[in-house]
Amino acid sequence: MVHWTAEEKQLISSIWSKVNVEECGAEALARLLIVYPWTQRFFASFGNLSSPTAICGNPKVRAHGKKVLTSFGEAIKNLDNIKATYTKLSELHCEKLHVDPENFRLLGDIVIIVLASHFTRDFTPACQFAWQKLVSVVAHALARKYH
Amino acid sequence: MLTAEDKKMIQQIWDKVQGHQEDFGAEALQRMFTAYPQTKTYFPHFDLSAGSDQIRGHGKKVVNALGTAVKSLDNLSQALSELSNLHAYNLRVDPPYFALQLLSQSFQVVLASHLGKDYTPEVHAAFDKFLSAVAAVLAEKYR
Repeated sequence: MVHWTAEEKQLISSIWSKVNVEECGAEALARLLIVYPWTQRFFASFGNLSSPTAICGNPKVRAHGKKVLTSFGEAIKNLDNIKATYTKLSELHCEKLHVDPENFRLLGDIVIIVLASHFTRDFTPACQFAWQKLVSVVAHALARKYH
Repeated sequence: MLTAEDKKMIQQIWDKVQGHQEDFGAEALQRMFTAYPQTKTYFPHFDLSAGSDQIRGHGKKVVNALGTAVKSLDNLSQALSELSNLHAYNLRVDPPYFALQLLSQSFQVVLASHLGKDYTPEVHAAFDKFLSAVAAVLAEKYR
């Protein structure tokens, strides 16, 4: 079980309470597809991914980005049991989606950069520490049921 | 591979770093030490408290080296040859892709937090590629 200090929990939730999940989620997923174009392999059915502009405006990318970040919200509500929160999603990513878990780490780092660009100075080093820990725990939980 | 477009964006972003070298460098190191405490193991001889002179000095050194790289995007291997030797034979930061990735992430968080919306997805992609290319050159002589 992951141990969270009171300060870490506070840093995570104070940022989260101000996050526009739809916007940040869309942006994070778009950036994943732009910065690491090979990740587009998982989204062949999403239509036009031919340029950064196309990706950012793509409604399927936006909708899926929102879905992904919403699930982060679940982790934040259940910091003391992230493993259980992600059991089903982990199985799904392994058995149906066939996503290499390395991609979870890439997306986690991108979420951090999106938060940094939105919150600027408020995204302090301490915030970054708490959030890097969170994305790392989420990535780990998502990889946990792989076989 | 860095495209012409990438190089243009890297240069544009670097123009915004001008005048802030020391600050950005120090902040990147501070963030790296805070977010990834394991990176402190490479600096047992440093005062790692916030705002320390050693961190400022070292941050400036790192950013100046990146500046050299920005001026030599067509020939990173040669431009960073000395630093490549240093990292391979002397510093042996381990493993190069992993540890340098942590500095890359930290530096990009500095850029994103200072530039806000100006750190667009396109610029982010170009800069991430640039830092990966730099890390690859630094790792060239490891074995």
